[in-house]
Amino acid sequence: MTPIAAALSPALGDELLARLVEIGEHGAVAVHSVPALERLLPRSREPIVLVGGPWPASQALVTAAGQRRAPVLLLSDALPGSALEAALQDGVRAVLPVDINARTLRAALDAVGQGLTVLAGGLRPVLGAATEARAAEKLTPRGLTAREREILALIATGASNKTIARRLGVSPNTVKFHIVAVFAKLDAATRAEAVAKAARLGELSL
Amino acid sequence: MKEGTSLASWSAARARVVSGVVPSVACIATRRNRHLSGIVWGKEYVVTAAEPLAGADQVEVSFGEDPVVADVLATDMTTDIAVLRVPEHAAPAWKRSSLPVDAGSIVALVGRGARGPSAAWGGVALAGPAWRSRRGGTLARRLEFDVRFTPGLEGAAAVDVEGGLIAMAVAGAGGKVLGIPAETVDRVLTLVQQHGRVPQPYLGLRLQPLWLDEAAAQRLGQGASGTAVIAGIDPASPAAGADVALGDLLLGIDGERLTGIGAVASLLAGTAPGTALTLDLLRAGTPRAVEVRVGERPRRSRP
Repeated sequence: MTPIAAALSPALGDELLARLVEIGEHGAVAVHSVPALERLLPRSREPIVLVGGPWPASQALVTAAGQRRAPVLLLSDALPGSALEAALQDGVRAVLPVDINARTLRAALDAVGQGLTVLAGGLRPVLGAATEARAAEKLTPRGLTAREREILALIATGASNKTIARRLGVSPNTVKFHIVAVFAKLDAATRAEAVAKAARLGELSL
Repeated sequence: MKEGTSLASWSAARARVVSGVVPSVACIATRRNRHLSGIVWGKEYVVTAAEPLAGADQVEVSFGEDPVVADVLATDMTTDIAVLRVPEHAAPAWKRSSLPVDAGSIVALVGRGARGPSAAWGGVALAGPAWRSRRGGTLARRLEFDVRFTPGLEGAAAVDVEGGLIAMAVAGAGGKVLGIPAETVDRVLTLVQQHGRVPQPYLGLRLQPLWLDEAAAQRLGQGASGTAVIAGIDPASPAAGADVALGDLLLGIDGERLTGIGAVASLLAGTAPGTALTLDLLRAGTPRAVEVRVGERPRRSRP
């Protein structure tokens, strides 16, 4: 295993290298650019890349390592939840806090060396935030489904839940379920308010 | 006359006003066990507030005796009026108000709850001209009441000091108590009798809001910065048969400048199906006037 410290800032690269040396990786080397990393990777035996620096600038280093199938440990405090998925796909095998202590870095390096993926405990809220962001995305009016729009259009004609259910060939409970979802998405308390808001947002034909 | 006697007669007069209307006021129970009031309107119709029914197609109606199941014949989202058919009931006993209704006039809301008739006295807080609600409904008068309102009084009769019917009381936005004027109820009921429903005006245009910078707004002669762009045209709709294209800006209708989708929705809601409208469009920088006949919103969903 050859650990490589990679950061676009030389100072940070050297700091990462120092940390690797500190945990006993005396064969570790540092690179400060994507081409340097690309040159180094084929010449290293079982390279493992420790990437630092602000995201998304550091993503280029991750991608370069990923393309050569080198596992990546990413030091990042502020990785957006949406970036995490992309990072994992790019070959990131560990996401670790910037101020990680020597013992934990050692453990993470060994775990990744064994083919495991490591996520620091503090990342859980970040993942939660990503889920929330996705939920919030769904809650925007743009998130109305075709079925929900259909139901809104029928509500606008004054149709009862049962009538809507009959016309769509679904159960009245399904209709009610959809209506609750529409109310939540449009932040509406009443049927009339939902219809009016949907019309203003361009979700309902006039 | 002694003071006590005049107070007693005043009290009796108030009770008399209420009791004169009570026989024509129904208690309406929804399946969700919510109770509200309704007013007998014509021989077999009871009208009530649409929103509390929450899409029910049957409710229980009672006049203090055993409740009967009534069909919700039609609801109009824009005026918040629901029309129920109650076949066995007698004609309404109320008369229309012939007193002037102004801010400060005394008003009574007469309803019927699960435990019997209820009344709340108060005043007219606001009496204005015809208006278009945010829901798009056109109401013959703007009426707001200053009265202690309870959910059971939704759909109650608002009467003057002679027991003359002014309006149906409904809950408005921001805790206001609104009156749906009797004339507006008449209009909606006539539509229901003619069509079995309240036809909703429809063009088949899907609009998206657009914000104009000052220069563009000035060039287009738009006073305000908002307008709407045509983002979709429903198949087989009135718009589909007219010379309307995706991407046209809808600047106005019938010469009236419209500053956004809300304004278009509101104008359209006040237009009866069958009416011809002129859309003032801007296509590729060139204004054009396109005539389109307002249709009725389809009651079947499109595939």
